[in-house]
Amino acid sequence: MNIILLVIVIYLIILIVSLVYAGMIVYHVLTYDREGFSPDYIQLAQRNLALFLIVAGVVLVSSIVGAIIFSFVIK
Amino acid sequence: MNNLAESRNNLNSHDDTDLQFPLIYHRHPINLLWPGVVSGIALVVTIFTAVLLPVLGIVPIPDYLPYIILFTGLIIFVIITCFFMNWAFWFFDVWIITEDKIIDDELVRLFSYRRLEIDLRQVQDVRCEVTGIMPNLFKFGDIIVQSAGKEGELRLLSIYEPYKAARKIALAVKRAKDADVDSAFIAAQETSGSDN
Repeated sequence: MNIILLVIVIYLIILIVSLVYAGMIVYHVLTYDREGFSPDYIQLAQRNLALFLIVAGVVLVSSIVGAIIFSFVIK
Repeated sequence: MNNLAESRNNLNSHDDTDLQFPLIYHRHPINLLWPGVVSGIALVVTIFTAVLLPVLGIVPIPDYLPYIILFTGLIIFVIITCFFMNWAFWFFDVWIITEDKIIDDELVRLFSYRRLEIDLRQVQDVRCEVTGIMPNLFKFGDIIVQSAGKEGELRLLSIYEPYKAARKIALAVKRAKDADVDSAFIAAQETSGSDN
């Protein structure tokens, strides 16, 4: 039980740190506005940001959902 | 002979009508090759390890299978985030040529920006450097802009088709200097006109 608790704590720590890190990058891309940048350039950045959020979000959510489903199947 | 004369004319032509400001340059996408390869290898190693651990019996299945799935998903998320961070650094490292200045805007680190502006009228020299196999294969190189100002030298790194880009920058410099001369001439005429 202690090992399982430790594994979960480690997972949560890594998850929170990586979410904060991803959040900082998202914040940068959304608020980046410099003199001389055309709106098309900013839009391209935001489109790529949306792609990243979709891919990374799907991977993370599917791993959590998959783990939950498998834990119920095992029981 | 006619083709040679025609190509010489093209080289010497100073047609700057195709300059559309602002000109935006950023580094060749090949700069993302190394982060991409590292991310790909990390991804493959992660998936391989996740499959290998239960197969070899290191992690007992099915008790620990949910944890393997959880950690695999998390590590893949981290790998994707790291690659996107590299992409963001590449995307926001730009050089912008406006009608009167060159702007070097760089995202150095998260929450650390660097911006340098050079007046086009202070540019003395524009030259190109293409060295190495990869730059010659993928047609990218460095452009060095020499300025008379305090900034000294500005380097545009890994620019695609650097000779064309350097030509456009040189034309933009010429246009800015001609505009400066024209406005000085007009001001001098107005002054002499008012004296009369």
